[in-house]
Amino acid sequence: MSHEQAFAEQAPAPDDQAAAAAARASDARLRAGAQVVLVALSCYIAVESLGLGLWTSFGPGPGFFPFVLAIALGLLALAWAAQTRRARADEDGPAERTDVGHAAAVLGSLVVLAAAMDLAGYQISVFVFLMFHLKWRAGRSWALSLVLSLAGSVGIYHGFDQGLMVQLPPSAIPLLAGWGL
Amino acid sequence: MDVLADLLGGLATALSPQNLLYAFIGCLLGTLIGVLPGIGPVAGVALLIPLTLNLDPTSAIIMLAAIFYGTQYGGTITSVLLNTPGEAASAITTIDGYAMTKQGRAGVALTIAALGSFVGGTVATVGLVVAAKPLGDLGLRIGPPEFFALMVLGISLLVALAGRSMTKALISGVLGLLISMVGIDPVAGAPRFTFGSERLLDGISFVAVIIGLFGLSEILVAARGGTAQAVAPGLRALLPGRADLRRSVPAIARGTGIGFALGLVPGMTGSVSSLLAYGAERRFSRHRAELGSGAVEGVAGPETANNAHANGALVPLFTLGIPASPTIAVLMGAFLQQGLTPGPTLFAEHADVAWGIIASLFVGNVILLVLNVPLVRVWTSILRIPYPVLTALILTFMVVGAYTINFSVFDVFVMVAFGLLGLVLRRLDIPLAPLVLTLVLGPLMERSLRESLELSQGDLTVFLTRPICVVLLVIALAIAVSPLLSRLLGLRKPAVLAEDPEA
Amino acid sequence: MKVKIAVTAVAVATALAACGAQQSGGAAGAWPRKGKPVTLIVSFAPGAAVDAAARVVAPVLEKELGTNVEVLNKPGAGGQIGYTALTKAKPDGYTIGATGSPSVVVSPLDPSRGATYTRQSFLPLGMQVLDPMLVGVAPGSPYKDLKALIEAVKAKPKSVTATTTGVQTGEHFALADIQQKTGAEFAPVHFSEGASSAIAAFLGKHVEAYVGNVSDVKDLVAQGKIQVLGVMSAERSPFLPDAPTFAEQGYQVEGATARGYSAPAGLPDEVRVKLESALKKAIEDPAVVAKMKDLGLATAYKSGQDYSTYWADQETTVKQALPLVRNTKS
Repeated sequence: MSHEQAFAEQAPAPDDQAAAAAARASDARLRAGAQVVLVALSCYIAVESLGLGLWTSFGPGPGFFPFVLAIALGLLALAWAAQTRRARADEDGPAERTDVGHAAAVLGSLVVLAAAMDLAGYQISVFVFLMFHLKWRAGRSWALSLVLSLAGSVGIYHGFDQGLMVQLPPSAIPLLAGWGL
Repeated sequence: MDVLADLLGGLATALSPQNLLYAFIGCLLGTLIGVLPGIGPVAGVALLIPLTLNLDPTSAIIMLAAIFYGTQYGGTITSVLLNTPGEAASAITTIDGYAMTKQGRAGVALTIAALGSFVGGTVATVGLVVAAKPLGDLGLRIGPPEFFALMVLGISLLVALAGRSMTKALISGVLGLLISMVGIDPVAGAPRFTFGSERLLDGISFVAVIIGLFGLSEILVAARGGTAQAVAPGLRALLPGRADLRRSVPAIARGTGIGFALGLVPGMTGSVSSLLAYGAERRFSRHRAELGSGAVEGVAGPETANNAHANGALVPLFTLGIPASPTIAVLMGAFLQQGLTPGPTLFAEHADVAWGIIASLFVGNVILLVLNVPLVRVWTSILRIPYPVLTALILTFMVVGAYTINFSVFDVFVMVAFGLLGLVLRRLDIPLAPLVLTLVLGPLMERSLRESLELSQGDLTVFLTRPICVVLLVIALAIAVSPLLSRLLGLRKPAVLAEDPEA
Repeated sequence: MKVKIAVTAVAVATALAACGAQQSGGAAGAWPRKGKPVTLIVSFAPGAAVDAAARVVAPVLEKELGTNVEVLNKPGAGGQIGYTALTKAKPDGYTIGATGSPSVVVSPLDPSRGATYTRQSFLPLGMQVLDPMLVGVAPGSPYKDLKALIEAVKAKPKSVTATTTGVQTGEHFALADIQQKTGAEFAPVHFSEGASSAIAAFLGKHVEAYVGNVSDVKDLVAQGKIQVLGVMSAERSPFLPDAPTFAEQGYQVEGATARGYSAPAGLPDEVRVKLESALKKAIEDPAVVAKMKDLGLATAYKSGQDYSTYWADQETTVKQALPLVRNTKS
């Protein structure tokens, strides 16, 4: 996915002039990438919605709204591209800076957690997730990390299960499930 | 004054020590449950219904109404403090609410939200008492074409949500509409953009989208050391100052009007009210330039509106027996289980119960206020937790919240994906608020357009021959073109000065 | 500071656990596991008769099963969204759904709807009610009786708008049936969210004729807000003794919505037996029957097996009428 690519090229917050220029360049790349993605998306949706049927005996069919929106999206993306081209000289700084390592760690850990949750069960996967964030990333003491991770995994699991009758996923591995995990 | 006598009789019922106790317990439990991730008013009330089954009808409904208020306010607490909306109706509150938290003004935001909810709820209840019948008829005059015009009016507020660039705001809005198209087409039943995935037939879950877009992307943007470290408020900052109160008054008034009016319309949801109230603040508030960076109006307007909406929605329930929103439907379920059929016959057959319930709405509002203002300090103490630890806990909350929407890991992935999208959009300086606005309004607009055209058999002039419809469309047009006009005429400084809502 | 956080966290966990302490315990493996709720999916918006019936049945079912039963509304596309969710759910007995025909019968038959389920995707558990259709107009309407209405529509096709609860739902079929037998072609307006939005549009005088079920209008008749021109049943409805039937006025049109409960196919046998008998008890519970009567719904229990047969029969009928509603498909 090109969103991710563009994002990965991001440099960390610059301190000096050269880095600032580099950051501006990467911002420009990100912007150009996004504009290309939007135009491509609009073409794809327009083609798809033609297949859904634009107009029926009583006005718009299922494909009408997506089609109009796709056209609008394409035009807006082009307008945006034109604006950036014109305004290149006094380009305003990006809205927010990103710490790539931090964002990647958070996103990566979430993806791993979500992928593992159905298999290992809520309690084990969230325990590991919390330990990762508390002990390794935040550098808290073992005692605090353990207590909080247990509360967030085992505590929440049983609290939700018994207090609210909301079932969080148990482990799909029979042995673990047998142990109440 | 028959009404007054009936209401006083109802108040006497509602104020009995026993019923007061139930209202109090309900409010407290509701708030606690509402703070939990993924549990909004609908789920909260549904979870706690069993507690009320053995009570007598009046007490049971009083307790449920209190639970309902409580869960709604609980959702606001997480929106303001943790930037994680507990429910759809308070999603928009995160923008200014969390910005206020970052400035150390979380207490002010929560107190104003409680005050606004109280005023909105009370005024709407007064409306219910004084003019239920004519108001119910008024709501009915909103047919499909008028509903469509209302949605167009709502979307026209998008221009008010634009930051530096109108183009970017529109891109955001169009993206929201496109996301709302995913799933089974609500009219003909054809699957759209599901990419063959059965998970997507039901559409992309709104709550997962907003948790990811607002909550997760905020955490992603914040640098590791926590530049976005929220400041726990000092004692003095807990209560709103005179300036805050003065600024909140017009926002609360607008929120009450918008929420109550939309609550009367069958089929309208509370999140539409809070979004439009926020849009109205961005457009009409005297301090509109500050909105998005922690203006009290951005909390007062939407929070007032969603409470006023909730109570306004009782008008169609009591006058017509039509539950106008999902939460009201849960309440209606409770009515049915108690052997009461909501509708005009309720007043004829069980007048004491009906008035007891209405009176308890007043009482519930008061209890919400007296319970939560002192508790604000307890809630805000959450912010004393060091930011990295808090982040880990919030992430867990988000995962649980996303998972419990459909009990599926799929929604967790949706949340993560939208967190990434939120991050990219923030980097590109594309505002997020328009996306959320159109995501909510899109399906309603499409459905009402198609219903309208069936009504007129494909004749588009149906929108121009109905007076209410025309008025709404003209207002929408005026709102949409006004920035353009004023720029052309040089009346006002261009919108460039307006702050970006997410900055 | 750290200690304080830890204490808070532990306190939260204990509080949560304490909340449900009295509900805990229960043998694992046996269905239903105590404390694990059964979700009852209703495919229409709250307020419709399906929804009301489900909410009346739920508490009794709860008692019979010994666990919570939560009603979940998933409206849209004339029921298809909810039915999709039901058939996609794990067949473990923790998800059941209210099924109403003809909507559930029709949606998989029309390929253009792209339904992911067929009749075989459902396991019928029991039928609860048979709710006749009717046609009504506002009290001040120029059409004083059914004949006047039908003649007017015949003379000028599509001149009168009529509500349905979605494309190819019972109301839509009823309209097609009327057209086939009398030649009067109404202009259907599809309120795909269900009867409550159709009623709101009718009461607001946005649509001229209301086509729906007896239960929808029982209260409205009492308030004088609708004039029922004809009920599509062989005999007059006990709830609307003053409303004439179609047959009385010389039109051989009959139609009703059948509502029951189903599980996703593939349910283990022991769970099916438990669910069926709990449903039977809940549906035939005198208090439930009385409450249903208040809502204008006559209880007509059919076992899972009989409901299944009824469903199959209806599928045959619907297949024949399908071309009619596909013509008017919007």
